[in-house]
Amino acid sequence: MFAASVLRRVASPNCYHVRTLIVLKRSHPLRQPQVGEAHKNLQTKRMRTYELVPLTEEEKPKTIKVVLKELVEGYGAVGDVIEVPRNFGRFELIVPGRASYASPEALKWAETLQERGIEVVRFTSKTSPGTIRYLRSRVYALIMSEKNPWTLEVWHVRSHLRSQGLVVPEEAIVLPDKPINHNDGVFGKDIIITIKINGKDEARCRLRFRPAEELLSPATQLQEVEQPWYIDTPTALFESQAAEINQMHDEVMAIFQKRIEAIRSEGLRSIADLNVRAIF
Amino acid sequence: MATMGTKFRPITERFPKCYQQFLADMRRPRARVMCRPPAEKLRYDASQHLVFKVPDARIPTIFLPESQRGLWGGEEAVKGFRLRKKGRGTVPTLWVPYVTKNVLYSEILDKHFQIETTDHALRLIDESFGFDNYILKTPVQDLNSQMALDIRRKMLLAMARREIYPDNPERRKEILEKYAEFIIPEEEAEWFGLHIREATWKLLEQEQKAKGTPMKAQLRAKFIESLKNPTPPAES
Repeated sequence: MFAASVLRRVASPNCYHVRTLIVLKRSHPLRQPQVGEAHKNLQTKRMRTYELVPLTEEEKPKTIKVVLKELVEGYGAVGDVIEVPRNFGRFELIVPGRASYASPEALKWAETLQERGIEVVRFTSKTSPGTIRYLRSRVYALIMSEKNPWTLEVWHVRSHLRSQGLVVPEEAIVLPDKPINHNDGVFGKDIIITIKINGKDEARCRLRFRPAEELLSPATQLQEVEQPWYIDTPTALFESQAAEINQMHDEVMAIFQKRIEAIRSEGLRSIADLNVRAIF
Repeated sequence: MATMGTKFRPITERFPKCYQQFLADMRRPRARVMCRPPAEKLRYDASQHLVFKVPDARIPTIFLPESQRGLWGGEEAVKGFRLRKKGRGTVPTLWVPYVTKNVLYSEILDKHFQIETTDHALRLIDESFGFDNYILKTPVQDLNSQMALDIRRKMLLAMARREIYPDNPERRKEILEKYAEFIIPEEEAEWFGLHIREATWKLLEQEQKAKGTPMKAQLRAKFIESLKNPTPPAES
């Protein structure tokens, strides 16, 4: 009985989004008072019977305009004026300081960005910055032959990436300027390639040469490995890329350690956690 | 019995002028939130060939003390009746505001506040382009919240004393320029928005300080001092 009576009192959740402000009017019209006379009958029950004023067009939920102060993925770059749902704009953009209300001062600030020397970084799509971060945090294997001669080409990279779950068209892959041959002592060393997303955004991706014959032999496949190969400290093939490779390795290790600590504290959540490759 | 020659002045007259003005402002009529004014002020009655004033009376609201520690945008409770189906009479009803906890950010104080707000208050904040502007621009009687007045006093004091952003002079200059129209002298800012009980204590303390310590207290202190450190009797 109690629960039913409570449920009957609760208004529809749709109402909360529309207007929680109560605006009332008298159900019965006010009596016309004589000239100079005050209202006498306001305390009667008839005069205290009210009804809700229906919603006007102005009070319906609207979007608010905000000026972005920084890059917000999926919404825009610095200085963009965008329209977002009210509560998202208030509590996700304005309160954390990622945007400000589109006041005349803020609009003026947005117009004079170039004079202040603030760079506007734009991406071609909503998911592009996330993809760039994803590629930075990974190492892909380039499993090449030790015995047969080869020169690294784009289709090598494309097919190896595809076998590891990353489908990249050949036009998007940009290899290093120097040609790489089988007899350069490449195995176990890292290179960085550029992947162009939508032909404009440049993502950096780390690859490591691994010997095919050794990996495919049944002896190595049965061997127990203490830690996965991609955690080993990297050595760069080209010295010009050494600093960048070390930096990317540190980022990978930070994510790895965080994930391992989470497994230690919370325990395994699924069998997928056992797969070390799935840690990333 | 009052001493000769001194005329009694009530405490409301002894307040500084800025605070007297504030008390007068608080007594001004507030903006309507729970009801709307009539669409037209005058009405023409064709049968009598006369023009009448359209009767206008606000719907009486009930003051809720909880509103003083939140931002409700002037909303209050209304007690009355609601019509049922035709011929079935009325139901006694109490309409109350719908309040939620939200986080708001003040640019001047560089601080986040968790405040109980209504949707109407958030809408007013949107219209005035930010929390600081809403607190500083809204007439005092429409804020209808002691907490909002306290925050406003803190903002005014911080701006008057130039105490905002102590580590970042560029940002300080920017903010002071942005809110330059609201800057008032420090003596006035100290009194702004005080509750009358606080203001009374403040005034009494000031008056006591101006008078100085009474002679009775002075003599008592002197006597206690002499008991603690008795001077040796002079040798004859």
